[in-house]
Amino acid sequence: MSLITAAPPAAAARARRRAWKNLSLGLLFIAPWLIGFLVLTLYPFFSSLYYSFTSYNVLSPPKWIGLQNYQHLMTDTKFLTSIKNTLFYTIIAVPLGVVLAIGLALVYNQKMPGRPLFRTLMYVPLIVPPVATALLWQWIFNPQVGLLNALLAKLGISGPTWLGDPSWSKIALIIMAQWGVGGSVLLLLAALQDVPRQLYEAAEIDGANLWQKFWNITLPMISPVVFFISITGIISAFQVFTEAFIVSGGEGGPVNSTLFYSLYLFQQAFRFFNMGYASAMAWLLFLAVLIITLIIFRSSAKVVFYDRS
Amino acid sequence: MQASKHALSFALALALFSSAQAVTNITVWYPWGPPDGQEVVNRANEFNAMQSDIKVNPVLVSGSGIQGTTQGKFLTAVTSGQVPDVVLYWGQDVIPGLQKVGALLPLDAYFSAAGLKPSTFNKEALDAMKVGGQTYGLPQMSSDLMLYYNKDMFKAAGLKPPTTMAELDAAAQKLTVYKGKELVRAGFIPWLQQGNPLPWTGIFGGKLVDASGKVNVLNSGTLKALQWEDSYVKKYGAANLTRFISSIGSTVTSSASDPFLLEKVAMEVNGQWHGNYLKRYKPELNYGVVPIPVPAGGVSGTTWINSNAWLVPKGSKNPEAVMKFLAYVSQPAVSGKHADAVFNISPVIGASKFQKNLGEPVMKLANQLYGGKVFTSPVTPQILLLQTELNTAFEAVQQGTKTPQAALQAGQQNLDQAAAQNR
Amino acid sequence: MTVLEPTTPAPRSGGASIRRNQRVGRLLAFLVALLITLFFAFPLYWMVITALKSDAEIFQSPPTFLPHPAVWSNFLRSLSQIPFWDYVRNSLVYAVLSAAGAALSASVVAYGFSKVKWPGREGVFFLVLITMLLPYQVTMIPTYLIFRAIGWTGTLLPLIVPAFLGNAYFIFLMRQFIRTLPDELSDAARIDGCSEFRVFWSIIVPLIKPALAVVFLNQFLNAWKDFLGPLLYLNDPSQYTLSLGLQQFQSANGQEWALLMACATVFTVPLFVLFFFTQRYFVEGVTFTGLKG
Repeated sequence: MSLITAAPPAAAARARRRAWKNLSLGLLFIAPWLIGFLVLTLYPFFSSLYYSFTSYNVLSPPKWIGLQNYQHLMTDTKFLTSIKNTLFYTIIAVPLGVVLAIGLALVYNQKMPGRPLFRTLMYVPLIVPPVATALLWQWIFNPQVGLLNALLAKLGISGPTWLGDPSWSKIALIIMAQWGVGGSVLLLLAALQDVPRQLYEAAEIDGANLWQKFWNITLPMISPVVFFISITGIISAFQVFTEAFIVSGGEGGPVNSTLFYSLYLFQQAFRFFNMGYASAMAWLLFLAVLIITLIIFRSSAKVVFYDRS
Repeated sequence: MQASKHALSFALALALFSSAQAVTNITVWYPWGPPDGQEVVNRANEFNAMQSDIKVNPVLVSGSGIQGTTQGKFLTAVTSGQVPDVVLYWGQDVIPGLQKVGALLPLDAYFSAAGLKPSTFNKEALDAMKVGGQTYGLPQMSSDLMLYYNKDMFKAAGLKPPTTMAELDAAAQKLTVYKGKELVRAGFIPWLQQGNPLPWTGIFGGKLVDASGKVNVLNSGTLKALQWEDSYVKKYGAANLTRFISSIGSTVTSSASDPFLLEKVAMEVNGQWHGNYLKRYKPELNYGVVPIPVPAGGVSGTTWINSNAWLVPKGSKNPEAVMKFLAYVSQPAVSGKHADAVFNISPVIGASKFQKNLGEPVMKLANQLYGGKVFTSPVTPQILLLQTELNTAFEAVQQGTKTPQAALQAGQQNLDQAAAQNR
Repeated sequence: MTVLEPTTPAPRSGGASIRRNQRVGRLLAFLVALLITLFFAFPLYWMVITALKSDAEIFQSPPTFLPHPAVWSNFLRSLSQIPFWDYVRNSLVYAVLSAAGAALSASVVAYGFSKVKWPGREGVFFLVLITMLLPYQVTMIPTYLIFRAIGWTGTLLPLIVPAFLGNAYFIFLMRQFIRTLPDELSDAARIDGCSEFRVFWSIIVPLIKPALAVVFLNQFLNAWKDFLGPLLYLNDPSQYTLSLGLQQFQSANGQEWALLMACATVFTVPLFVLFFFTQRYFVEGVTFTGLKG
């Protein structure tokens, strides 16, 4: 309803009043979020930037030291190790998770007896608290009497010491993470169900085979969801903490092999009380996430197929 | 008349009100479950029963919020201002580090009001809790380390308990049992239970902090100790050992599922308190104790000692009340009884008169060693980081991923960096 | 709609073989699904039977798949070592209150972003979405310091109150749902003279009950599972929630796997029960997000 064209002054005034009224109403409704945003997001955001330029152990006032924290981080071996560990984890766990989720969604999309039960059971790992999950899988990965090595032994394979081996500990955590892939599968299932049948029918008439149907129809149609789970997957992989904390007893071992970025940050902040140092780490993480997100959004334009409506 | 009546009732009310307020509640964090933890609870109950001004409320916090997976809880409490009134920690090594960040209250000023004197305590035990001449902790119980050996296994193999490192290594080899390629019983694994980097450094005659206060993990003692552990890794295989260790019960603290108790290892380095666990959970085990063997050229009969420490955090609201409780538990009779129950050595002078278990072999040896040449945790504000780096370095060698020299080098680098960067 | 199963009438040539391919395809899918479900479900079975094993049986190699004998007392023993009911109470308080707060704030804020037209609305909503990308570590320390300054550390308040201030994901979810409601409803009410708040409360809220349930249950779950929050803010063990309590139990009882698994099972069972009765809100909640479109 536009009052802009040839409006008499009274109508224009009414329009302005309405706009004001709507603005104040809008702000009133979003006030909870606005307050939270200002107090718990924006202020801490800039505050941690400030702390990153200080030396601060909480029990005494912060001391300005300029860029020293950042300089020290560049030569901190454990910091660099934590980056390597986090990258390793992300680069393997996220694509693996996405591919698995797509595969599972395709399987579960088939009509089969017990499908509702399968779908439910797939989601159940997500309702198990991470602490319990970590302990359970720590037990499953036990090198001597754990379930996994027992099953491998039946196949004649001598399993590694998993969480006790610096070369295998991250792989064990990646396997543990796949146990929670059900959430992504659900999203993809919903997306698969929305793909119009006619597209497949048309393709069949043209003689397309399975792979062609998947690659040219299914994948583009579900690409928005694939994009979504990839981004959220990367962001949460960068922040992996609880499971690593529990299985390594907060140490990030063995031999710093599970010392992820968030874990090292937590240690610096709450164990050694170097708040300034930890804040610098937090800001570097933010910058990394920002850059990667921008890169992905840019390249997604070429890859993600958005529907008309 | 009216005014004085009002004044009287007001005064009465005030008196009643303030006496009702007179009960001071103090919270104590302690780090273990039973039996050691139970004794702390017993002391609290006794103290509460014998007076009505102070009520002690003991709370179990694993690792006292200072170590392990609850690390950070103690410091978070201190920074938030909601601290327990006193914390009992299972060691004294963290004191310099905690003092440096300002988390502890110095106790000297509270001694006399509570009726405590420095001379109440064994001098070395108390001095280990001082930083810069001020006292930051009170010793609760002391322990030292020894070598436990399984008499039956030794007899069956025709061996005598080892007195030198060479004999230890040889006995270990002879007593190791395989099933095919898998370890079924280990003669000895240096890093189980209390076989930690700090004690081994001392046994091998090293010093982690030099005279100028600089931390040096590449000192000869630590290096030799790590090379010795490396020899075990080379002999038995890193993966083999890791697999074996993961299935033999609790290898870090004393419990009913200790590997020595379960007879999965023939020898184990542990404190004299462990005798209490063996008595409780496997009294029929035929074991003996000897001083930890030393390498050639080392001082035999030397050992690592450690004291549990009462720490009063900064922000504790009732330090006077706390000291009254500590004065109670530091009475010779009380302390002696406590030491008796948990197989520890009381740091209180005159307490041993009240101990009944001094005839036990572990207690006999413990007291003998305590009075001899002992060493303890180095005093350095970098202690928390030092322990982390040592553990990482030793782990790297135990996993077979680094040579001793390289592992310690990496640790030293981190320590130097942190020192240079003042963190 | 599946990729493997054509729904048009089979072409005249090879009709029977196509149907056979269909059956083989479906059988294969069923077998794969069965195998995969084993991966998801078997560890839970393993958790429960480990809880029932005796100490001796735990360390048997190869492990047994049924406990002989079943040591039910492990459950009681593990619970007796921790202030279990304190933990349950704290977890419940945290979960229920923050879930209520999340549902309330998400709906109010989402209404403001959908049914009220105001200048700059889309730009601010974009800001809401952006905050989803912010790593929590950036704000973790100053947020902790803020709560410390106002004296809220050592209580459940730093965990509960933020839920009342809107969560970006829930707001997004709610907004998607509210947008599907026709404008005529709210317009009619406004014309009748209702205040905007009345419109929201009396007209919109009854219609979004399913979405409210989705937000409530999801936040309940998040709160029950939360570990880092309690780790940072709860000092006194009597305030711990179950997740922190279980971890506390682990650090005190390192290798007592039977007791650990018993504790973990008890910790997880309430969620199973809740999930059993409300699963469609989780499993189908995704349809409310409208992400696919």
